[in-house]
Amino acid sequence: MDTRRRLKLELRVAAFLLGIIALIPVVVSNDYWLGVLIVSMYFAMVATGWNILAGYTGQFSFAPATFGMLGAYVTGLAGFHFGLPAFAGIPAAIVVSAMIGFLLGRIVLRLHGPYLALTTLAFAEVVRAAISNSMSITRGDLGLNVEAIPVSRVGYYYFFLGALLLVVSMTFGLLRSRAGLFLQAIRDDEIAASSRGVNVVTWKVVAFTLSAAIGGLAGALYAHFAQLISPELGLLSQSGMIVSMVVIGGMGSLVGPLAGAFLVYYLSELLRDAGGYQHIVFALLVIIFARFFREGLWGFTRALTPVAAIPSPTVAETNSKSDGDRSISVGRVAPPDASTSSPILSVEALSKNFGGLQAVKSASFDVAEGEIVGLIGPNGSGKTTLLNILSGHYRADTGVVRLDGQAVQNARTNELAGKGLLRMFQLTRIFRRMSAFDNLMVAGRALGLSESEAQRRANALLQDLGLTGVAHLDAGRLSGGQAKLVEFGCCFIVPPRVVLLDEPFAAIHPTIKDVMAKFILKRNALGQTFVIVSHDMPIIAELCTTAVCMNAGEVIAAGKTRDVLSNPLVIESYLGEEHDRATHS
Amino acid sequence: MLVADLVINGLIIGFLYALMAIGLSLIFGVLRIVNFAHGEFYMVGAYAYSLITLSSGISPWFALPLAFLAGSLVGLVSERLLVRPLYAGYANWGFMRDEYAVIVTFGLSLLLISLADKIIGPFSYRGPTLLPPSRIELGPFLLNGNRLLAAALGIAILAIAVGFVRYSYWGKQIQAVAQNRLGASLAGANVNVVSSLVFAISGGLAALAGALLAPFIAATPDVGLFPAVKSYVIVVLGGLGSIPGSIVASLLLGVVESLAAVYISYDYRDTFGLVVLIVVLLFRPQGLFGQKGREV
Repeated sequence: MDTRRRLKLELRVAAFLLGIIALIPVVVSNDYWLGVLIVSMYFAMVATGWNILAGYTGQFSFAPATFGMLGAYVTGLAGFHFGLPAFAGIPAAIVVSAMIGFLLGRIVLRLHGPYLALTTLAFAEVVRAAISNSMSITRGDLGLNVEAIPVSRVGYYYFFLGALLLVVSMTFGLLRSRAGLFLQAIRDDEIAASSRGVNVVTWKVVAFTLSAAIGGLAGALYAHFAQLISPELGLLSQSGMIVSMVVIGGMGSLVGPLAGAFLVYYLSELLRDAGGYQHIVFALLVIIFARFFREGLWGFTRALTPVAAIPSPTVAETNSKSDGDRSISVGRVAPPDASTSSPILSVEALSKNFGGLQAVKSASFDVAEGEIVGLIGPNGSGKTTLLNILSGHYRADTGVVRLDGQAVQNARTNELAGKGLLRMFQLTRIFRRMSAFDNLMVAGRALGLSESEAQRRANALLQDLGLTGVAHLDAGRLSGGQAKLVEFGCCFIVPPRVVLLDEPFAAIHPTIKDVMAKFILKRNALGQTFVIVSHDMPIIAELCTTAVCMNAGEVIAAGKTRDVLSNPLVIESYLGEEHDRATHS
Repeated sequence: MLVADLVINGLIIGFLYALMAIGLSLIFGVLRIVNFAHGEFYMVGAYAYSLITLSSGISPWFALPLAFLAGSLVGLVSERLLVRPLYAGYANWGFMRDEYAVIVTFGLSLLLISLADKIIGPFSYRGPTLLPPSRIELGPFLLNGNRLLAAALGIAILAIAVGFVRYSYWGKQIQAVAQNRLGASLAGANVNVVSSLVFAISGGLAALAGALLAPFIAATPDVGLFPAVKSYVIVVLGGLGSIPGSIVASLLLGVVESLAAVYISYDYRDTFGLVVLIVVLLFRPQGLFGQKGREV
């Protein structure tokens, strides 16, 4: 389902939940249970913050409770040492937590999966140990007394509720904006996200900072409510509790952390009274949910709503078949004369080593605007490495790449996408947990289109590529060919300058190949430039005006496709010396 | 002289860290997941050793293999119930692979800790030492005999484990699966048995570390936390999946901790490794000895 539609439903449920919570003090006047609910709201806030980071952005941090603890200590220490009142201490806590979250985000930028989890775990333990061991400042494990806010318990209750409301509506606003698309794109595939033009660094750091700020706010409020804080707030088991709340409620949903926090904390109070089995029950629940109900409680509601039947995976095929015509011949405009116009893309003496292996050796060639260039060569000749340098995924050791005359060999992938250089990967890279439509929306929004314009163009592209029937399915459920078309389409939502296609025709049905080839010719007629890596010689011969052949990292031939394909060096590199000798003798 | 003394004590503890860490590294090497319940395998070993010797009065020498068995059993069952689904088609999952592995092993860790707390209780049990308390003079150094023995046993077990993985028939299958799971299965390696085996070995080794340290660090439900955190530091420093890297990093950590506890601060002794880890990852995200894989 599309992010937008899903979010709308979630907002309604979240509002309903918060409405009930707002009414509870009317019925319940028991201080103990109000206290339980207040602490639940603390957890709900921290869990919502962590969910932005882990559930939406895919950055599995093990330090959610740490930021709660930091917030609590900032306001606590400010009050203890400097007599700062709560109304100043709480904003200070938010700012300091956000700053530390920002720093942590910068530090762990390049880490993924288990490395990230382990490093954040280390961070959590270092911070906790620092607080616990700095006796003279924090009073260590003895705990720190924090001044109360002079209100009744119901007053506290509505303070917390107000903060929770703020956190939830802020999160909703964030997810509803383009950020929601970008964060999920990063979660599903960081490399693809940067190729579509998403600034992965910025948005990851935004997620870390926001998540930390929310933790800081929650922790600061908690400190003034509990009036005694200790490093135990940052224990790994506390973070575990928050993780289990989100997992049980449903990761990557607005409602999940709310439902999870109230349910888990309430249950833990009940079970504590009934013999202290709460930890066993939660551990079991986490395992069972992770193992069998991966979308948590919120996933159950999705199971209840009717799912549209999955259209057969041949929609694209049948659509294109109706054209009848199997040969590729769309009126080709004559490419501008390469000798007079300056090249749109030029590669000058590019080299790249991997350890001892020289993957690209001083490669040079030019691509004139409006051309379709075939980049050919045997496996291992350095074609993909070259593309990776052109698209900014690798840094060249030496050499210059110019796009429109501008040196761009040090530009980042997303900057290149912004300049109109887009790229499709050999192994399809799409955002599998987002709909095909949202996949295109990510590309459109990242390249600066407005919401409505991006929607309009995404729908038009889906139509052109014969994907309308599957537009709102999660892309992970598409067939291989359809997924490839989605990735292909992402290159065109904003008219590109140069499109790099790495083996676009490999392992797909001939009719999808047709759809792509025709689309390429149509776009080329509008003046868009293509560089296509392929081993499919007939299609190279048919599509490409010029060709570049690489072998063992070097450019061995470049020029008119016909000339390159008949060049003896090219034939030798493809078919080997034996063939060469046989044909020449 | 103090420095040399500290280094030797650091190396002794380092060999026991290595026993923990290579199991973790093995699991990562073969299954590409970090087992967040590794500390609880250690805890199982510490309890098995202490409770068996304290309750039945049998020789602690017999309790050691029993601790190994207990750890392997827990490892085996964990793999069968929780980890196996990972390699049975995770492509269409709501979670991603790493998330599932982290969550489920973390859940297992919480479960084992709370079960121990409920069944055995929060009290600590200190197992008996293997030998009567003694001091051994090694040149100018005076060492605790039992600690030295524990380290010596640790070295022997390490050697056996490394030899097994390097040279035995099953060890070669483990290496094959670690390099290419699909390829190994096509070549006839029994991938599922190898995965179970890896978890059993890993659990057993962690349990042995727990048992060998039980006379010095009493068993409690959460006794595994620090050894586990340390082995995470070690495997990341050594490069996830690299056994030689883990051993070097273990010894390094043991020595650094031992020196820093005296020269910097005793209170922060358990955090130096973490600080080192964060600093190393800043400059080498793949760890000190790890190799950077191809991303695109």
